[in-house]
Amino acid sequence: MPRPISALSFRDSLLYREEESCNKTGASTGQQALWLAVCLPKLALEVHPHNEIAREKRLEALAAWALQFSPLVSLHPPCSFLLEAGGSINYFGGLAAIRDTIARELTERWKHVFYQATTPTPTASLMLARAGCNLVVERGADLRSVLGPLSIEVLPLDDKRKQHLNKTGVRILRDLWRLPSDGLARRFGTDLVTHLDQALGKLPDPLNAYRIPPRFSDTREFSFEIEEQQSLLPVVHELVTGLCDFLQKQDLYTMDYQVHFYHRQDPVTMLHIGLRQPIRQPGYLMLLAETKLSRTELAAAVVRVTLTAERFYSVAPRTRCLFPGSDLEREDQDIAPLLEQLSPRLGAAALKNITTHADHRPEYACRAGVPVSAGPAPPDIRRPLWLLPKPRELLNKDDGIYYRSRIHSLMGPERIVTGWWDNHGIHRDYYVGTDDIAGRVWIYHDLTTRQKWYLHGLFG
Amino acid sequence: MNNSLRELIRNNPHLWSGDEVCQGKPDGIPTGHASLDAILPGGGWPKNAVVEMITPHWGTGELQLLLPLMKSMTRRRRWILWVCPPYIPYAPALVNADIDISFLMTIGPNISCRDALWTIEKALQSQRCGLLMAWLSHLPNGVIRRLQLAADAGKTPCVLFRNQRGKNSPAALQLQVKHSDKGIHARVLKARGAHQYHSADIPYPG
Repeated sequence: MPRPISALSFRDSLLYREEESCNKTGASTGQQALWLAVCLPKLALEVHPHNEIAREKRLEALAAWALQFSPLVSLHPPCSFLLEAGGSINYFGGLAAIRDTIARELTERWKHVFYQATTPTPTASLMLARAGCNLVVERGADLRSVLGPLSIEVLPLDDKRKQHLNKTGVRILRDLWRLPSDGLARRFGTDLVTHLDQALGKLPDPLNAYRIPPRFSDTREFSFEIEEQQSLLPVVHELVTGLCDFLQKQDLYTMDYQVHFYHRQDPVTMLHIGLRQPIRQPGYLMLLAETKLSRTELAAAVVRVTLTAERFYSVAPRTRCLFPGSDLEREDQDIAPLLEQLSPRLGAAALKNITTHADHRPEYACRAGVPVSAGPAPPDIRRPLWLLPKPRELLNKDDGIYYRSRIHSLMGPERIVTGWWDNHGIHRDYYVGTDDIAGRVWIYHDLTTRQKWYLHGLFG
Repeated sequence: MNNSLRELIRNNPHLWSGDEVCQGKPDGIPTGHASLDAILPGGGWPKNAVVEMITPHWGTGELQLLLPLMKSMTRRRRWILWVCPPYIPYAPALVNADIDISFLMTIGPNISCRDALWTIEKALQSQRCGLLMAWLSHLPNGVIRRLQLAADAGKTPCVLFRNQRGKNSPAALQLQVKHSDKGIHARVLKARGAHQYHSADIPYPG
């Protein structure tokens, strides 16, 4: 029975290779992994002395550039990056060719001072490059002797532990290897021992592979100024269609995008369109842009429109029905797209769910809020459909209590005495009454303050 | 109708009874109140149309009439939108009426009339809710006609609560609701497809 040659996981795009079969079929010569580390010790000075973001951006740009040498590039801030060179040796015709090309481009094009080291383990390469060694170690067995003379400064330790090591007379890595590893782990932490083992290839060394983040940006320039908002709609439509094509091709979804309107002199007008869930339906994205645009005042005539989207999601929204368009689908309706359309104009605060809350005080037992899950079920007692936001005081005459007319046929009382613990205590007798004009009413007799009568609800 | 007359109608294709023309087949949504179904053409709430509920004051029984409809809508997992409710829809009572309150959404009341009308139209057109209820005072006939078109296009029933009756309203049904000794008194003021208007008394549940 033939054994599988490779298993491809689409989720994180990892290729697991069956070594033995590969060797037999000659698909790969079982190339040994070689990690090429590049350290740029003066990166901060060369880019911008005090601008950390500029430095990070430059490092990312370098990582993107390094992807031409290897599919596996990993960033190690503040000033190093790694690439797997072993797999690219045949393509470039030798490791020396890769090293030379990198060295030339870094000096001539990027104008950086750098060190590069190549070893079979990522950690060892980084250590050597950071220590300023330009060398190549091809055999794992040689690593110990090469790393031995390095100062303990290359280890990722805090100053306290470095001082501690210094005091015990440990200056270089070779001194560490002479110490028993269990004692080392106890005194200086297991991470130190793990790090050393990773450098020698005794333990696996997982890395975060760098990928160029997807970004969408498209611009339309006009040779004339556009003043009417209506005339901008087709342009926005074109840009949104472009965005949707991009999302479709990349199999991504977006949750927000920006449309910038540039004017000749006035500052840029920006529309930020945020969504409640990741989507990529063109009609829907367009609808939101249209709603937002109609609510925005443009300061002046527009000469250029740009649409950018930077945050993407790869999760697909839940599929609701096996057979789209069937009756079943209409039954379980999703209100989110409608809310999406309403909330930019009305404000999110205007849209509320209704929930119950376990409290005997009527005004606390109902809550309007954003959460969608239903609260605890209330006790099965007669309650009005409408609750007044604030109880309304009723006219109390000798012959009865008046709302719109005299309230008669009282049922009750239902005494509610609770809430004394949070200074909103109530002491009331509730009655269900009938007002010949207003219908069924829910009134209470306040037993705390001068025995007044209040209307609190209507049975609707 | 006596038997000979009925036989005459059945055997002669040129004769038919007057009420058959207007009544048509019962295609309304059952209201859940038998006496109310009996007075409505179609045997229930008109489908995909605007219903006007006219009450002297809010809360005189008009919401009670809609409870069975709300119950069946939320049971079918369809959303109910309350636009500009005059008071707080009281969740414990709604739960007691067996309504799944996780499918209720209130909008307003602190929004402008323009925004409210826009919301109603968009919600009706979107086909994303099962029932829309709105409490608005000033509604010209032109607006109601527009909402009627939206309700028809979006296949969503819409109930407008009003304090005063508009003249020549284009709504499919105008129902006046009052409190009476026997419970809730409902009188049909205008109904599409009916030639005589009746009234009914619906007792308060419980």
